[in-house]
Parts: sequence; structure tokens; C-alpha cells
Amino acid sequence: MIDPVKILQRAWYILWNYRALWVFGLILAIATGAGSSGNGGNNGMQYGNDGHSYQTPSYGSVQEALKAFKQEVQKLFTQGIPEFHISGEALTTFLWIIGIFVVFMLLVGIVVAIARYVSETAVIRMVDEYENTATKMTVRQGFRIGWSRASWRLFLINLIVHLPVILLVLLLLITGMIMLVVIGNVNITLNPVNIVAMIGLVFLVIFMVIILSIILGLLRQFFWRVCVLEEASVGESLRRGFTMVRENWKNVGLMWLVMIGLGIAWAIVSIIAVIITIPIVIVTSIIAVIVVAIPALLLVGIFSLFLGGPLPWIAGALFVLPLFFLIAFSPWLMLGSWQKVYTSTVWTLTYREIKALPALTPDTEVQPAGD
Amino acid sequence: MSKHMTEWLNAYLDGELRGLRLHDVEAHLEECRACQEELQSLRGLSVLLQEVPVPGFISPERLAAQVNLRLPHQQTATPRKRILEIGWWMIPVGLLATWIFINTSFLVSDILSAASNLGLLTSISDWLFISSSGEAYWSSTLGQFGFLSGNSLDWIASTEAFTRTSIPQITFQASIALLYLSWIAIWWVRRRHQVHGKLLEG
Repeated sequence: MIDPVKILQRAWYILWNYRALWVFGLILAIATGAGSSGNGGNNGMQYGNDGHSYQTPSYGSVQEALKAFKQEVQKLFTQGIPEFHISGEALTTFLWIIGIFVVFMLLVGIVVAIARYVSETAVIRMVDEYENTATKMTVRQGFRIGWSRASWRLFLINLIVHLPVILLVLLLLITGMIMLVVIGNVNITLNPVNIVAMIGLVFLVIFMVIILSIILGLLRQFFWRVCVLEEASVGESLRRGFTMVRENWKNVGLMWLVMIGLGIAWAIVSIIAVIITIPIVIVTSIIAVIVVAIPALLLVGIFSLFLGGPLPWIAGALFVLPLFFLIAFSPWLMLGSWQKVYTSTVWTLTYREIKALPALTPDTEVQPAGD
Repeated sequence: MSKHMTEWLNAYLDGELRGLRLHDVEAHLEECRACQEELQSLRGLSVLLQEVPVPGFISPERLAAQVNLRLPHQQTATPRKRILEIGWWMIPVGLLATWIFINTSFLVSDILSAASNLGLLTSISDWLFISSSGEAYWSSTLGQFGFLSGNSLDWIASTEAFTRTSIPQITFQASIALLYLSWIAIWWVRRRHQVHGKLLEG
């Protein structure tokens, strides 16, 4: 059996003694969200709506409301907003700027997604290299080893792993939509037995989706490490990773249970840390305002050439807002960065430990292989 | 010419290098004559050693078996102990299953509320008690007796409706989290005892 405490202690040591990893952790925190635990970020909190004061319109009235909304939008873009001295033309130009912003954010999203997989690869390889040779790499070297085919394969593995969950959710949504349309158009009365059966089915599907996503999330840790550390192809990584987990399910299960406990503890600690760091966030917010002020004013100046009223300010703020959030919430992102690096390191060390176990038979032992 | 890589040549020869290190060594070998010669001599040595007849060592498996035979044998776990052990590991699994079950229930309950609001479950909404979740009994009672009115009544009513749905969820989640952390703490203490016991035996 592996020793989870030893692995956790070693990962803790690596986290604080290998600071180049923090940079990649920061990218991971930005790309995947600082708060998520890595084993499914949903904390399961849903807030019910206040049913006594709000009534959702029926299907027919939804159609009418949509029609009215369309008319209002047409009116808005022909007349503008006279109260704020905004013409219809300015509003159309503003919409174009919003479109540019969306395209810009999409591009940023693609860059961040690429950076995410490069960082995932870099962290895994850097930790493995550190364990093999005790050499610490610089951030630049990290990027060099991260920028590889393996990072693209990580993306593909991630996609494949999420596919069953996406399909199940889609199935649920499509069924729901079809039922909504059928009930809205055809006069069908559902009897209690049908409805109870339907509720049972929905419950079962959601339950399965959650279980499946948890299992796949765990397997993904091993798929990724086989792919990065053994330079295996996507198919090979899935096959070998699965075999490895199946052969060592006790060790993997134990580590997983411990990591869930650690995730709960981290959630509690991070809430406290977020509250404690509020004064620091206020300071970083002030710094963020100073930093984004010049580009924001520049953008407002440019947008003033085509827009009037408060629109240039709104458009300018929109473009600099991501940068503002990045700087303002950097202390919280740093907390997320440590969590990402620590989790990745723990799983890399677990992978190494399991691979080194003598219990592995020669058939299942992971062999280095090219594509 | 960069620094010689003689200390990595053995590992390179054994096929133990990977990633950046392998790349560096290969790149260095292409241009360094001294390291090429060193590698060649290591290869020669390896061939030479393979030709030497193997002395009568026993295999690692046999050695392990012999050592194992000499070690004091641990008592095999009784069925009761085994059941207890399985039960012990089932605790966190059960807690997780409960957590997923409760969250799924809340999610389905939200879907049902939405469907009820859309008028899809009119025939059984009373039977399922769907519409009662958002009601505010205490604030309306206070309003009837004239303790609350206007904006304050609205505010208290919406707060009550919110807490009515969120408090049970938070309580369930916090309880499961607490139980799980307790299990982790006990596991850690048990493990420490086991390690300590093994050390004392040694």
C-alpha cells in the first residue's frame, strides 16, 4: 500500500520549495477557476426561488412576451434612449463594440485554454523531473517542456472524459425541451404515475451524471500522467491509465478519499482566508484602478469618436474589466494557484508511487512508448 | 561546448532518461567527442559484464520468500475483523453517496418547482407539496398581528422564504463535511498508531 501521508507531506514540501510552479498554478487558477476543487467544482448549493411572489409565465405567454421583447428591441435601435441623449445609430455602434469585445474575449479564452494545458503539462513534468533528478527548472524551462504535443493530448483526453457527462446532460435537456413543447402545443394531461416515473428517471440520470463525473475526474488524473510522463498517445493513455487504476484500486481509492477530505478542509480554510485577505484585496483593487485607468481612458477617448452619452465609458469599462479583476483578485487567485499546484503534485507523486509498487505485474507495467 | 554529461551516460545507456534530460543528453552527445567515447566505453563494459558467468546468487523473489519465512507471522484477520474493516472504509463512501443523493434531491426539487411554476404539474403539485417551499408563515403571522408592515414585512418574508430553502441545504452539507473530516481525523490517528506499533515491533 502507498503511504498517503508521506505523499501529502512531500507535495507540501515541493509546493513551498519550488516557486516556479506557482506561476503555472496561477495560470491554472485563472483558466479553471480558483475555487474549484478539481474533483467536481460544484459545491451543491442551490437556492430555491421565492415562489410566492413570482409566477413564471405559461408557454403561450412566453411566446407573446418574446414578440413584445422583439418589438421593444426594434424600437430601441430606431429611436435610441432619448433620456440619456443616445441615438439609435450610437446604440448600433455600441452593439458592434460589444461584438468586438465578445470576439476579443473568445480569443483570450482560446489563449487561456492553451496556456492551461501547457501549464498542466509543465507542472506534471516539473514535479516528475524534480523527483527524478532533484533539479528545479525555471519558469522559462517549464514553458519549454510544457509546450509539447502532450499538452494537446491533455486537451483531447479532457474532452473525451467530459463527453459522457455532456451527452447525458444534453439528453436530459433535449427530453425536457421536447416535453415542454409537446405539453405547450398538444392538450395532454399527465397522470401522477407518469409524472412520478419521470421524476424518478430525472433523479436517476442526475445521480448517474454526478457519479460518472466523479469517477472520470479521478481516472483523468492517471490518463493525464500516463500521457505526459510516458509520452503515450491518447488511446494508450486511456488504456494504461485505466489498467493502472483497476490494478491498484485500493491505493487509488484511499488517495481519492483522503483528497476529498482535504478538499473539504481546503474549502473551509479558503473561506476563512478569503475573509482575512479582504483588506489586501482592497489594496490590490486600488492598484488595479490605477493600472487600468490609463488604458480605460484611452479606450473611452477612442470610443467617444463614434459614441455619445455614457456609452464610451461603459464600453471602455467593459474592455478593461477583465484586467481589473485579474489584478484586484490576485490574492485570491494566488490561493487558488497553491491549491492547483498542490493537487497536481499529490497526484503526480501518487502516480509515481503506484508505478514503483512491486505489485505491478510486467504485463500491466507502463512501458515508455512513442506514437 | 557545454559541460560534459558523463554523470548521465549510465542512465542514458540503461534507457532511464526521459523528457528534457534525454533531449539535453542526446543533443550534447551529437557534438561532444569525449562523451561519445565515454559512452562507447560504457557500452563495451556492459557487453563485457554480460559475458561474465553469473555467480550463484539467489533470485530477489527467493530472497524475499526466505526473509518472509523467518519473520514473525501476523495473525490472519478474523471474519468479524474483516467486516469491521470493510465497514470502516464504507463510512466515507456512504457519506459521499449521501451527499450526492441529497444534492440530487435538491436539484430535482428545484426542477420540479420550475415545472410547477410553468403549470406542468398542476394535477399533482398539491400532492407533492411543491408550492409550499417558498411560503413565509412566520412573517405573514407577524404581519397579521401588525408587528410588521410594508417594506419590512416584504423583506422579512423574502428572507424567511430564502432561509426556508437554503438553511436545510447548508445544514446537510455542513453535517456531511463535518462527519467526513472526523473520519479523516480518526483514520489519521489510527494510521499513526499502526506506524508507531510497527516501529515498536521492529
